[in-house]
Amino acid sequence: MEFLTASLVGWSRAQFAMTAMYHWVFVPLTLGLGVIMAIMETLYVRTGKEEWKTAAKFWMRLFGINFAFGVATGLVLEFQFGTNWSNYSWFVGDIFGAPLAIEAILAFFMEATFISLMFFGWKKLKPGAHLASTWLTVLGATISALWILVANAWMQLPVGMEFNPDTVRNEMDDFWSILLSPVAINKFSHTVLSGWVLGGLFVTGISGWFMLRRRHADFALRSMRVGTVFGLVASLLVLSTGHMSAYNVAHYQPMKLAAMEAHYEGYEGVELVGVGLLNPDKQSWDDGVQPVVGRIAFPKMLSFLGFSDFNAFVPGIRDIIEGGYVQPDGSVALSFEEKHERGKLAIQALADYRRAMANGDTEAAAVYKEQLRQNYAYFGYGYIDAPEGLIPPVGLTFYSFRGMVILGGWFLLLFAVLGFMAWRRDITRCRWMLWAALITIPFGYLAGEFGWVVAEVGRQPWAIQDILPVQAAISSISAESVKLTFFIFLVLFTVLFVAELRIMVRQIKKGPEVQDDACGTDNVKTEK
Amino acid sequence: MCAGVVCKQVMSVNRNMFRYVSNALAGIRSRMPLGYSLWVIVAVKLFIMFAVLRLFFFPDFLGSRFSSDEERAEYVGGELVVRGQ
Repeated sequence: MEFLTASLVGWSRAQFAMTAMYHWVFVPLTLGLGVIMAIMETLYVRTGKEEWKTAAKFWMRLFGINFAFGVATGLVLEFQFGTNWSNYSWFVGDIFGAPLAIEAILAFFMEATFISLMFFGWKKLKPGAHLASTWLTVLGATISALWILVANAWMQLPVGMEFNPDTVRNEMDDFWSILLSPVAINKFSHTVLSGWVLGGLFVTGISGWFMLRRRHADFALRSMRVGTVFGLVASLLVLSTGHMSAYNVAHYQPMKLAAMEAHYEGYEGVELVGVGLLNPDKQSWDDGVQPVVGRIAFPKMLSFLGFSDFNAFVPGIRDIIEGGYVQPDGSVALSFEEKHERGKLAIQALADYRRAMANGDTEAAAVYKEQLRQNYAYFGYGYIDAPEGLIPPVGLTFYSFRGMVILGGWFLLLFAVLGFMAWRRDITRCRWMLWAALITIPFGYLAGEFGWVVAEVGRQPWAIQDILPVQAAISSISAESVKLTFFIFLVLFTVLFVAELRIMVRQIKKGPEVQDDACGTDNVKTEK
Repeated sequence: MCAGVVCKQVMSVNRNMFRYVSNALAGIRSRMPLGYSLWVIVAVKLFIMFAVLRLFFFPDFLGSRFSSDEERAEYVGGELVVRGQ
């Protein structure tokens, strides 16, 4: 216990956040670009036009580069579970283990098998069989994301399990409620679709660059057209799933919603802050100071987003701490003090149960087990000593949410305008738009990272919502060792990222006329 | 003397194998430079992750300290209780 310091919790969280965010640099492009290259290959198979094959191969080569750099970067997160987060790993073992095992067995092997056929099978497979390999590669990557996101969603909404005090583990008793929980379904769709948006941005941005350089005009226009339509559809779907995300957060993680909006005092018909600055004078959740200044807000929109009702009551941070408001399920919310008390009761019941079992007193053990069961929903609150401990970092969550939404709006507009120009006008004359498409690529990555910050920082202090806070989830190890591995990962991932950028840029500059047989591509010649 | 001959033959086979492998790699490198680079990157990355990081920096905290699941449950249960008191 002497090791269990704020520094250890901070470094463990920082390391996990950093590696997850670097992992998320590689993953979304795999998800998005994969679908686009598969669409282009489908067009080739259906029309027989070699131009589509050339385009599909070009984007497939970039997909391959991204895949090679990204593969296994997620494994380091599992290393951390075993070393830095051992209490958590044990506590959730069966539930977290099942989706990850399915991911490894089904999705990873599916992906690994068909990606080989996709890259090396151009000359060996019939067009239809090759196309099937391409789609199955994309499907494998997407299913892989599904299981990871199901595991993550369970941490946001722990369902389908029962805590076993003998094994000190949450044991799965309903697989389907975990897989089909509203948070899991929405998290999967919103996250994968955001990857599709990035894929659209990447293709339109690179196509714009070719147009700016007046190279490969036909290829660039074809890619631009596919990229804009795909990106526009994905953006509209992201908008829809974003609404559902807000709905889920409002129902299952009200503190996260309150932090996203810096919403301290609840009332009916709450506005949505479009743009605003956090007031630096706001020092505490109960000081009554106005939290946001200089804001532009949309009246009643937060109520609508959260509850599909323009006049719904949205609890603020103060309400969630003080309790007493009616929750969506009709029950009255408990205050922090009450939840803390029940959490303490649950922890004490666990201790008493284990002692009773050790003494062979099964009758007393049964009583304590029932006490634990009745209070288990608040187990994690027993580790939080003050109401401030319940509040996630409001500034980071607030600004990240704004960043994600504003960028999402920009992407939607960009796809719509670029698409119109690419399909109806001569887009090459609008050079500023081509520049805008190119410059927007990194913002696609940034929006995805903002999304993760909102989802993960916004749910602090919970490793598992309401059940296990981060301070109870970490291992009793030295903060120095976590700090050391933090910097090792930082260097490793930065090197990987820079190397990927260099190789990617070099391959893009070569254009679709490929000299390299690297990814099973042959010597395609296209017009300059 | 016999051992010396065998030893020379083994070394010769090793040299031939090394030459064969290096020629094959050089061939792959010249024919598909991108693919070669990507395979090298993947191999180096996996080596660093599993042979260095996993082995030396990320031991299984519970697995390395306890020999049975009962002991692990006992430890984690104790930790959860102590941290909550």
